[in-house]
Amino acid sequence: MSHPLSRLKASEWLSRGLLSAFSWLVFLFLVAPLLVVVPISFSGGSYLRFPPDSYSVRWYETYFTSQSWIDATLLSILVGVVATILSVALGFLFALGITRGLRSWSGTLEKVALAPMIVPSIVYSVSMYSLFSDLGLVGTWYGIALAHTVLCLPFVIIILTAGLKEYDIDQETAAIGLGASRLVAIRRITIPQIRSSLLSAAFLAFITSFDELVVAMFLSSTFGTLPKKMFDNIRLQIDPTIAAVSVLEIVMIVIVMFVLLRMNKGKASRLA
Amino acid sequence: MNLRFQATKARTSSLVLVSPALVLLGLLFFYPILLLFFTTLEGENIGNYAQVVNSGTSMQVFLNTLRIAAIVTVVDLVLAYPLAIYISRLSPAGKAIALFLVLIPLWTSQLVRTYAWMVLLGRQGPINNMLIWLGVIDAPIRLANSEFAVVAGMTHILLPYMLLPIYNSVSKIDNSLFDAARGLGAGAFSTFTRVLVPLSIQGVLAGVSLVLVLSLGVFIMPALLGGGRVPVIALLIEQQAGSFLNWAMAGTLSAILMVIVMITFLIIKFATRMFVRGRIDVAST
Repeated sequence: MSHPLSRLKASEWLSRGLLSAFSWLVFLFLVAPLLVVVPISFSGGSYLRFPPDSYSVRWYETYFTSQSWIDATLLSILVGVVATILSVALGFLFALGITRGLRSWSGTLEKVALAPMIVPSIVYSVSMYSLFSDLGLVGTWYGIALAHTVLCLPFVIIILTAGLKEYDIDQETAAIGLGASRLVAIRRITIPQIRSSLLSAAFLAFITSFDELVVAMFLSSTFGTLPKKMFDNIRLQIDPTIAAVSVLEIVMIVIVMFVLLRMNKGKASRLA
Repeated sequence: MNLRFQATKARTSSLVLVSPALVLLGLLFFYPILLLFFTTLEGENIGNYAQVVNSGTSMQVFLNTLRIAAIVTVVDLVLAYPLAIYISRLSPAGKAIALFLVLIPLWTSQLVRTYAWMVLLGRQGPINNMLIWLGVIDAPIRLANSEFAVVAGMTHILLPYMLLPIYNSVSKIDNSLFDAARGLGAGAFSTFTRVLVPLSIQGVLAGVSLVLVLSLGVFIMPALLGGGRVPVIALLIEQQAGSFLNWAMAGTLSAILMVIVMITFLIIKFATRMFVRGRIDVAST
C-alpha cells in the first residue's frame, strides 16, 4: 500500500467515484422532473397532490373528448407541418448553396441565417406583431407558420450543413459526368445519402414550432395553439389534464428519438 | 478561361440556392426588427428611453434579469463541466445512453418541463413531502412562486445547452495528452488547469454564451414559476404590450433587451477569439 503507484491509484479511484456519483446526480436532476408528471396524469382527483390519493385515466379522457384541446392540437400540427416543410425546403437549398459555390462567403451567410437563434422570442414577437398588424396577418394560422419558419430555419441549416459537409460531393459530380442533370443527381444521389440529416432537421423544426409559445401568443387573437392552451390552462385552472398532455408529448418525443437514433446508427451526437 | 467560367457559373447557381432563405429572413426577420428599432427612435417615442432609464423599477427589472441569468449560467457550468468529462470517458454504448438522457429533456416542451417543476415544488409535491419525511420541516414550505423556483427551472431547462457544446470540445481531446501530462509530473490539478481547461475553453464559452443569451430572454419560467414575484424583462415587455397596450414602450424595452443580448454575445465572441489566438501563439513559439 505504501507504494506510490498504488497510492496514486487509490486517489484516482476516489476522484473517479466522486465524478460518477456527481454525474448520476446531474442525470437525476435532468430526468426526474419529467417523471414526476406521470403519476399526476393518472390521478383520480383534481387536486395536485404527489403521490395522488387514487388513480384513473379521466384526465386522458378529458383531453381526448375536449373540443378545445383537440382543436388546439390540430392547429399546432398544421402550423408545425407547414413551418417544417418551408424551413426544410429553404434550409436545404441554403445549405447546398453554402457548401458548394459560395465557400468563401459561407461563414458570413451562415452567421446571417443563424441570427434568429440569439434574438429573444419576446423581442421577435413584438417586432412581428407590429409588422403583421400593418399587413392584417395577426390572427391567421399562416402568419404564425411563417414566423415559425424563421425560428426553425437556423436548426435546419446547422444540421443540413453538417450533413452535406460529411457527404462526398464527388459522387454527385460523377453522376453528372455520367450524363445526369444536376437536379437528377441531387434528387437521386445526394438526397438519399443525407436522408437521416433531413429527417433529424425535419423533426427538430417540427418540435421547435410545436412547442413555441411566445410568438404564437402574440400573433394569434381568439384561437390558440397547443402551447397557448397549455399556458392558459396552467395559469388559470391547474388541473391534471395538463399532466396527461405532458405525458403524451414526452412519449411522442421518446418514440421519435428512438427511431431517429436507430436511423443515425447510434450517432446520437448528430442530433445534438 | 473555361475553369473560371465554370466557377462563376457555380457561384451564380449557389446564389440562386441561398436566396429564398435570405429573402424570407430579410422580410420576416431583419426588416421587422429594424423597423421596431427605428420606430422607437421616432418622434415622441424617443422619450421612452429616458423614461426607462429614469424609472427605478424598470432599471431594477433589468438588473434582476441580468442577475438571474448570471446565477443560472454559473450553476449550469458547474453542473455541466464534470458531466461532460464523465460522458466523454464512457464506452460508445454508454455515451449513446447518456446523450439520450440529455436530449429527452432538451426536446421536451418547455411548458411541460416548467409544469413538472410546478408539481415538484408544489405544497404537496415530492420535495416538500421528502423534507417533512426527513424531519427537516414540520409543515409544507413555499418553494414554488419564488425566485428559487425560477432559477431551479431555468437551470434544468437550459442545462443541455451548456452541456452539449462542452461535451463536443471535451470529447475531441486526445486522452493520451493526460497520460503525457502525468508522465511529465503534472498533478491532477495542474493537468486540469493546464491541459483540460485550455483545450475545452471554446466549448465552455459557447455554452456560456448560449445559456446567457437564452436566459436573458426567458418568459415561460418566470411567468409560471415566479408567481408574479420575480420580475424579469420579458414579463415587463409582455405586460406593457398585453395588459397596457403600450406597444411603443414594449418596443423600447425590446430594443434595450436586444442591445443587452448583442453586447453579451459580442463580449463572449471576443473572449473566445482572444483565447483561441492566445493558444495558437503559445503553440507556435
